[in-house]
Amino acid sequence: MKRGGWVGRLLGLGHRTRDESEAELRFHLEERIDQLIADGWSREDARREVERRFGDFDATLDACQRVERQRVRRGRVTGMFETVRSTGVATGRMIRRSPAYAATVVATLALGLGASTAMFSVLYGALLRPLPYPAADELVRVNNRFESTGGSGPFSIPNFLDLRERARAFEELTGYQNASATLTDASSSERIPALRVTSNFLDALRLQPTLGRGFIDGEDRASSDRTVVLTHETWQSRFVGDPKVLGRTVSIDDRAHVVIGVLPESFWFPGDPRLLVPFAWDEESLADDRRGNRNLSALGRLGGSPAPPMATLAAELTTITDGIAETFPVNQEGWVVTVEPFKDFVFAQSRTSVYLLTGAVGLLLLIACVNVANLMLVRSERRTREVAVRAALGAGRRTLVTESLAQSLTLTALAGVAGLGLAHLFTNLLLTLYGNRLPRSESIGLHLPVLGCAFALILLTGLGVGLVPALRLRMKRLQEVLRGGGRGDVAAANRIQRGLVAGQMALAVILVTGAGLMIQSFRNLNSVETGIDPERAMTFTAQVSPIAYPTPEGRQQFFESVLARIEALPGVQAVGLSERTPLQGGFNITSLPSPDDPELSAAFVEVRRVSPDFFAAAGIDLLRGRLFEPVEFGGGQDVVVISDELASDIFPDGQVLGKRILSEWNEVGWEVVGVVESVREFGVARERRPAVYWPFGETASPASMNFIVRSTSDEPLELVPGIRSAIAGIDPATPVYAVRSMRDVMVETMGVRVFATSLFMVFGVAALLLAAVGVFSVLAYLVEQRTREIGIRLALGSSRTAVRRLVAREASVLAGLGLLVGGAIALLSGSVIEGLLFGVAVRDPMVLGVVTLVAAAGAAAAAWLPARRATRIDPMIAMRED
Amino acid sequence: MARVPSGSIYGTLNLLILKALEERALHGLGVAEWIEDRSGSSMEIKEGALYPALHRLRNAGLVEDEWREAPSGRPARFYSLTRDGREELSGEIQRWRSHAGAVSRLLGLTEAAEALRG
Repeated sequence: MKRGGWVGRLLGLGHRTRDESEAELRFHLEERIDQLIADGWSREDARREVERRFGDFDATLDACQRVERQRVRRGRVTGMFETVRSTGVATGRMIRRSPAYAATVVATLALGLGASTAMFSVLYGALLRPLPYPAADELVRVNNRFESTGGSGPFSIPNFLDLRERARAFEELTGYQNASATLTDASSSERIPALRVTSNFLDALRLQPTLGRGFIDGEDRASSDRTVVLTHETWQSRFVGDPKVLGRTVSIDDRAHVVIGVLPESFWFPGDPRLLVPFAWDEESLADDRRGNRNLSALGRLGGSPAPPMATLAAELTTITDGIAETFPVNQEGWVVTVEPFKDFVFAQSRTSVYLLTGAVGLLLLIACVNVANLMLVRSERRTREVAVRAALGAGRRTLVTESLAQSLTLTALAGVAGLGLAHLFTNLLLTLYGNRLPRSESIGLHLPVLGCAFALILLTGLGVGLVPALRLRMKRLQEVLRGGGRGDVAAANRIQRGLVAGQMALAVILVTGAGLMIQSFRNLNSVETGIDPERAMTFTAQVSPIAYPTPEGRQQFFESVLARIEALPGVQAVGLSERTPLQGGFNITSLPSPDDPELSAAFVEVRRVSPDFFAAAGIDLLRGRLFEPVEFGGGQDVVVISDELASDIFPDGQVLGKRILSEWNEVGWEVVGVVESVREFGVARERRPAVYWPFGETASPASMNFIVRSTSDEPLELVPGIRSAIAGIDPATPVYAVRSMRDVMVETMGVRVFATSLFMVFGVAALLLAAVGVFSVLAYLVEQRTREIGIRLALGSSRTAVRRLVAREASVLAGLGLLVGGAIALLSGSVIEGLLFGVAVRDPMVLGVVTLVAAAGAAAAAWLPARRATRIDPMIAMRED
Repeated sequence: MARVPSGSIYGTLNLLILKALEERALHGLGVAEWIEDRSGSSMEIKEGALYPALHRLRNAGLVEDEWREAPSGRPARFYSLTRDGREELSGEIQRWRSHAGAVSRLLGLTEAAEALRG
């Protein structure tokens, strides 16, 4: 390969050797001459003596250049290697000389890279990673929306079956229902998440069991034998991976089921089911009077390509359901069909927060980069003279840029390794803390694409960080430095640094504002009146076997004896039961017309059957009238207690007590005897719901009931062992599960907000710390640079306060700029975070005030040390310098 | 790594340069002054000869160079020993010792030979 002269010139080799050698020899001569002159020689004599001692200058220079040319020749062969080696040596030297600097850079970058890699692995595992089904993009979730309220609901069984028969767009349309099931074997009884499915479920997902078979047509009817397909995990944990599990009979909800298959290990579905059982529909559940009973979720696989647009498909399906509604009009009016990609449905819950947090982590990484770029800049400014000398001697700009980049890449690579370790740590921490609130958390980890992305991040960071000081190496400027001692350009360098630090401050302000808003939301959520009293209360669910207790009377009796036993436990103040735990939501709803005004009705009224002490146990206050009398339990009574939301919805005149409410299915109605406070049934951040309470009785006693227990102590969960043994005393086969304090239930309903709040806090603090380091380094450098000037000022009688003010002014300019810019961006981008806020506006003056104070305090703390150092400058020493 | 030929005047010069750089980085003039300080005028070396030697040592990877500011404020090229340079130095001292010891014994210079055996 012929390398033309221009390559050499580009690399600065040709010029460099000649100029460097010549400069080196000239230095020798000039220094020697100066020495002799200082000893009293005349300039001419000195020059002659030095030349005598030195020998032939030109011959020496020639010899030097011959040696250099050998080096260059060799360099052509090993050029790459040599560049790598020498920059490696230079970097090694830099680390050895300034370990504190290198450590700061590596630690800062490692933090930023670790946090972003961890966040990306969460994002990837939860969102970007393809769902574990073949051609998952063809899967759509089909649902219903109630037009007037925007509420959504699934399908009733008969409607689903009709839709499946008539819709042409799907290759398969399958129905499922998330449920829980009691899996019992000889040794234990366990309540686990389960999925009830139509028999074509696995076909729709295009999944084959790794062992055995899937469900066959008709297996979802009551007439068929009961079968079950296990997930890999259940197979492993409950059947120790025994391949002979096929054909075995297991007890699920006290019914014998035959194991027919085991799913692949990669199987995952929303709700994280541990086993799949087909529906067992009987004639009754298929009857037309069940068309209003919406409890079946639908999932479709689109056939033919290209897939029709979602809206077209939804309109088509709505036409079909409208057709069904014409034949069976009960409870069908106002519902339309909606279609969305299944993937969107899976991730809908946490999308906002994950994007938001990714943004936050991105900002943090950016701050870390700016910080490091700044450190490198300050350092390169300090070394300007050395660099300028080398540049003047022909070390091409390219060489210098390469070196600067090589150093930053080396440091970033080190930081990357540390960052990956941190990422692993952070990811595990995130999963431990919030794994159960993230979709598909089990697939979160440092996968190959995550590592690839981390690598790209590291590379980009290294280049970005190294580029700033490299770009500062302008040849013209460097020559000025050589001539003028480098003072002339200090202002320009400071401008860049200040810009970087102010930018950092601005980024930190954005994050701190986010944190402030989240904290305020969190405080609001915690102090929100939910309608219940969560302190000293706990909840659990107990499930009776429908085989052991086949009749409503039997179940009623069972639950009553459980209530009695728990009430008798020491430390129990009150115990109640209901079909739903307050705040936990659930679609046990009805719509009630107003008896006073035919125009008025309340939709989505929560329906609760409650035991006598339920209100006392939950801490729901009675507002008017009375609660149920003991005699009203047991059925046959026509009294209800309603919530004040319902009261104001259907009794506009405020006259409630003694009125009767009616429904489509009960013309006699019930007498309202009391009004209680409304509860935020769907969680702390949601609105209060209208509700109607019936006395719990034998008319409907489902197999599982939710208990709520009020303790006399502040640790309600201390009651758990007593409760478990009390229930085991009645029937040891009764699973007791979902045991939590009401405080935890409350926090749980805040969902991803808790996660977002704590992460924002961590990021906010980290960002502020980094920004403070930035302010500190710039101020410290400023004081160092201006030591002489400050010394002169002090010598001329300037007071130490004035000097301190000088530093303080610089700090306030930086902080002020950052606050202005960051505050403006935070305000403008507020809509991103709005969805997560509760009871606080993006423009909340209190939060903005606190953020300002916090940022100012950070800047002040960062300014303190440099200011002190400035006031301690000794004028005499300062002026003698240089 | 290319070995610098020893035994010649170059070899001796190389040894002296490496020794001069053993404890600190020096520019070429500094090396010259170090030799001058220690030898009085007993060794007549043209100062210019140091430079091709220094550059050869650099090519051999025994020393590395860096431009820094000299106390006078002028930019100067400072040389320091690499790890290879350090190994070379101790090896050369060992070789010098045995070589000079052998020659001294042959010439009947027992005192010098004893000292060199030390």
